[in-house]
Amino acid sequence: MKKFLHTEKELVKKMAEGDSFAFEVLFYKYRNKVKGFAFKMIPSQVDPEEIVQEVFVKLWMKKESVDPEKDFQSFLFSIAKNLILDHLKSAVNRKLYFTSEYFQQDLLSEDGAEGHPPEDAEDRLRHLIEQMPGRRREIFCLSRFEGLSYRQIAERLNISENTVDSQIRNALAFLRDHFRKMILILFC
Amino acid sequence: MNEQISGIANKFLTKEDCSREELTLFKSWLSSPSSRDEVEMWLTKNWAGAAEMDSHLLIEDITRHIENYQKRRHEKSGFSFKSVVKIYQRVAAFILIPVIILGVLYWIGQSSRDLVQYTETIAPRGQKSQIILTDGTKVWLNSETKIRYPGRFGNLRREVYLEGEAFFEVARNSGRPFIVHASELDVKVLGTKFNIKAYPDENQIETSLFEGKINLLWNDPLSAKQLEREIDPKQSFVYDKFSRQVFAGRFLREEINGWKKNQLIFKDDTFSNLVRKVERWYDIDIIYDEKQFSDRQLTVELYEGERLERLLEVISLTLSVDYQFENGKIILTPKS
Repeated sequence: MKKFLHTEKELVKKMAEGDSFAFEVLFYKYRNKVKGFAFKMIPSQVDPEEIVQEVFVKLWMKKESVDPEKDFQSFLFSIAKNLILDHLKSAVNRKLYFTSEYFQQDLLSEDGAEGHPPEDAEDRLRHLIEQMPGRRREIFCLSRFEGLSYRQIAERLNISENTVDSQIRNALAFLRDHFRKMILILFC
Repeated sequence: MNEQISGIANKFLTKEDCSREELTLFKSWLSSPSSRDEVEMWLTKNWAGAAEMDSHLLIEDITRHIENYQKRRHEKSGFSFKSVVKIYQRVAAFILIPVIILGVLYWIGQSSRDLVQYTETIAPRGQKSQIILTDGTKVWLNSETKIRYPGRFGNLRREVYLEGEAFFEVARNSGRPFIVHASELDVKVLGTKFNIKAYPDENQIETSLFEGKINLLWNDPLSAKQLEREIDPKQSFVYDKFSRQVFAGRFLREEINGWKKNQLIFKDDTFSNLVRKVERWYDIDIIYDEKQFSDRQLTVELYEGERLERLLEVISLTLSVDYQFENGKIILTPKS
């Protein structure tokens, strides 16, 4: 008879060797725990399932560095912790961007649609940003959320400052275009 | 972790509004090395105290993302060499195996008694193919083209349905006209050579006649009648799907049927046309902002097996465009 009862140590060891069934067992064992943690620690705009997914994708990527002799939960926690921290930081950065003058300049000032951004503006903006092409999104986030200068971005990504500039312009044009439509819909 | 920070953290996580000062404070607490231990403790405490919550993810969701991730990483890291090889392979496949035919048989019930069995041949992106129909008519299919034809033609006429671009050499049979249904336009011929371009994602249908005589048929939006127009050799007709009108013009042989001889010809092509042709030929996605390129035109001839890199080099030089490969796609930006 096939042996189904594994100790966690055995499972972790198997996973570290690339056994996808062991990985699956561990996934079903811990997905709810990770979701509970994510739900507690991230702002409500982020879907906790997204974090669960990221955590286990990361786990599989790093499986070789898991030590079966050590506590598996701590390892899982360290992955989840780092991801949550990243999400928290970028959520704080987003909020800061929203309360900054940048936001007014970037998205609201031009056609006099002044005043408060609509209530779910942040969710919508996040959604719009997700629709941008990968490179543009990266550059936009580095600039607006991380607060890096064009030069810093150019150096980090090994591209020219001009490219950074034009990508930001394109990103803003895209956001303005969609944002304005959205504001019009909301205010009419 | 002092009370102020934990207060802000709670506020932030429960979606209450925080002031800029609070946000700035929270941000520096999260990222500064001096508070790293505190952050770690805060997270550890919450991990320990986190209640389980039903997740609806399945292992398939995870494995799918792992695959995507690995593919992306593979493309990124191996870009300089591997993805180029991949493109070569695609081009090579296109040269060596020009004929990949997917024959799909299905029934179309016109009436319960008169069932016609149709065959569908598809030339996918990056490939071309050639077929000979039962009446001896030869058809060359350009990339991304679909043609549907009956296994045996009827007694009164020979009818085929086209989506994409094809060159026809129709076997003469004056008793049985050959009709190509290309979207809203029908082309009726007796025996002749002509090219039709009728891609669903383009607004115009272009018919170019090389020899013989053909008739174009379409529905007039005003009179709701069917209009017919005869065209002569060396004439090219463009049917516009919006206005439902046809425009006449002359054409250069090579420009129209160059694709058949594996020549890729751009003659004063608009940028979006050019991009579409390249996408079809090399089976690759090109990303660009249409507005930035609307004023550019290009005339260039390329021959069989031309490397995509060289084509891009030509486009880049003549139109001052920068190109880069990303995730297996090509991204075009105006040269700054």
